Amino acid sequence: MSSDKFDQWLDDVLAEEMYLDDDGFTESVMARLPQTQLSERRIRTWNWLAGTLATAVVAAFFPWAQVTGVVTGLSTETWMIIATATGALFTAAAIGGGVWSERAPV
Amino acid sequence: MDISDHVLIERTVKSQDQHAYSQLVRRYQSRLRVALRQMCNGDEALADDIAQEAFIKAYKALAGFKSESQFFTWLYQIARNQLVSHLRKKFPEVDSEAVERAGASTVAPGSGEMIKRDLGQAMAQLSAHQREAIHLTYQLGHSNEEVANLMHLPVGTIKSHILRGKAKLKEILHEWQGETPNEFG
Repeated sequence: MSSDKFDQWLDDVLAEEMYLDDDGFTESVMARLPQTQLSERRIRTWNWLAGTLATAVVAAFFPWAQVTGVVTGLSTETWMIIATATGALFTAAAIGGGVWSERAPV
Repeated sequence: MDISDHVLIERTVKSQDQHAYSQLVRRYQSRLRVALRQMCNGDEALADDIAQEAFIKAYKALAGFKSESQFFTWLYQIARNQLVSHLRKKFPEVDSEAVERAGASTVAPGSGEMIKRDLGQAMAQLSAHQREAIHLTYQLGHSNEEVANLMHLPVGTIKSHILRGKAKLKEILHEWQGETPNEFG
C-alpha cells in the first residue's frame, strides 16, 4: 500500500464521527437537574394578574345601579354611624396588632 | 428546522425552560460521550458518568456562559476538568506521565481486516494527549488553535501531538497489516 493511500484512508476513517444512541442518557440527565424555582418577580407578576382579573370579573357582575340607589338614599346620621363604626374598627385592629406584636416572642 | 444553540440557551436561562436544555443534551450527548470515551480509554461507564456530571454542571452555570465560544467547546472544557479532577481524586499520588502510561492500553491487535475496530485499538496505544488531539482535530473538526485552547497547550505542541500520533498510528497499523492480510495488502 502506498503511503499516500494509507494517509488518505487514515484521514477518512478518523473524520467519520461515531454516533452513540441516546438510550435514556438525556432522561437521566434531566432527572438529575435541580428543580426550577419561580422567581419572586414572576410570582408577584402572576399575583397582580390574578388580582386584576378577579377585580374585573367582580366589577362586571356587580349591581352598580342598585347599590348607587341605596347609597344615595342614606341619611346623614346613617353616614355618621357608618364612619364612626369603620373608624372604631380600624382603631381596634391597629391597637390589637400593636399589642400582639409587643407580646409575640422575637 | 433545528433551533440554534443560542436560542435554546436563552430559553433555558431566561424562562428556566428545561425542555430547551434537554434539546441541547440530546444534540451533544453523542459527541461528548465519544470524546470522553477516547479520554477514558474505552471505560464507557466512567465516560458516561462524567458526561452526565458535565451536563448538570453546565446547566447550573449556563447563566454565566458567554456566547463568544461554541456551547460544545465550553461543555467539553467542563467535562475535561471533571475528568481531570476525578482522576486526581482517584489517583492522588500518580503524576501526569503515569496517568498517560496507564491510559495506554495493552489491547491486542485484532486478527481481522484493517477496519475501524483496529483503528480504535491502535488509538488506545497512543498517549492520552495524542489521542485527545487527534480526536478533537479529526473527529470533532476543531482547528489547531481551538484544540490548543481546549487542552490548555501551545499550538506547536498540539501540532506535534497530532503528527506524532498519526505517525504512531501508521506504524502500529502497518505492523498489524504485516501480521494479517487486509484490504491494503
